[in-house]
Amino acid sequence: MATIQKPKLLLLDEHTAALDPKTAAKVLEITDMLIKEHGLTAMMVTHNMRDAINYGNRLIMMNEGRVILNISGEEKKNLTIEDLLHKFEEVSGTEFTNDTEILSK
Amino acid sequence: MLNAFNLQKTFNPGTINEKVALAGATLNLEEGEFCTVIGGNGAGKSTFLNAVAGVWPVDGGSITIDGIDVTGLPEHKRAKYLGRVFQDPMTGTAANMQIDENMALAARRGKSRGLGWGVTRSERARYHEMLKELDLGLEDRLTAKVGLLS
Repeated sequence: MATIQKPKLLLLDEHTAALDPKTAAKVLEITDMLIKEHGLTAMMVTHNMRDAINYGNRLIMMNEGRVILNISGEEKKNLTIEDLLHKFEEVSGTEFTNDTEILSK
Repeated sequence: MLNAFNLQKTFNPGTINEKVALAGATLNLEEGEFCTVIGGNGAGKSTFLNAVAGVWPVDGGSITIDGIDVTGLPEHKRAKYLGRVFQDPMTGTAANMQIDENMALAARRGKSRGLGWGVTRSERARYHEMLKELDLGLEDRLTAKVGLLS
């Protein structure tokens, strides 16, 4: 519905978080398709690192009200969850004993 | 397309509940970029999106969308530039209205509305096609109230 009129900017705030895994995957596929089809600019908040890596061509990580990591292009394509965890520790200067404290896989 | 520069936002300033939610968040997106946003609880992800959408004014910084400075614009005046989807489907839809009526409202976002039938026959046909593509069975429930969907 948010894309019936082509918006200049699409804002998705954990829009699949409350859905069962199968429906969530489907909605994500549709989201990706609509964004590509209409060439939309979009921001998608997610707690799922795999989705964050697999979808889109840009990735930012936030911490304490700032953008602490900004990845695009080839670098994003080759990104792994381990990279993200490592970078988070590096940039934020915080170590996590358990990755679920920051992001769930 | 989007230039968010040095955004600042503190909720409940000067109180025991003071919370610095945005402390210099900056992001530039080119047209067609699809940006995923991650971070822990309270990192400022949703606050950032709300700042761009204009849910409340920011304390500092600037936001331009497609070259238009929207920093001082209220939420409803930015709506024509934005599409938004929330975790809770009831945020962003009118529960007591039908699926087709909700879609018609979305299609008129930011446009002037005249007096006429709420949903025209051609619109309903178009929505049927659009929903069919989603393959969720919604196309046959166009007149169901959104609040009754699971």
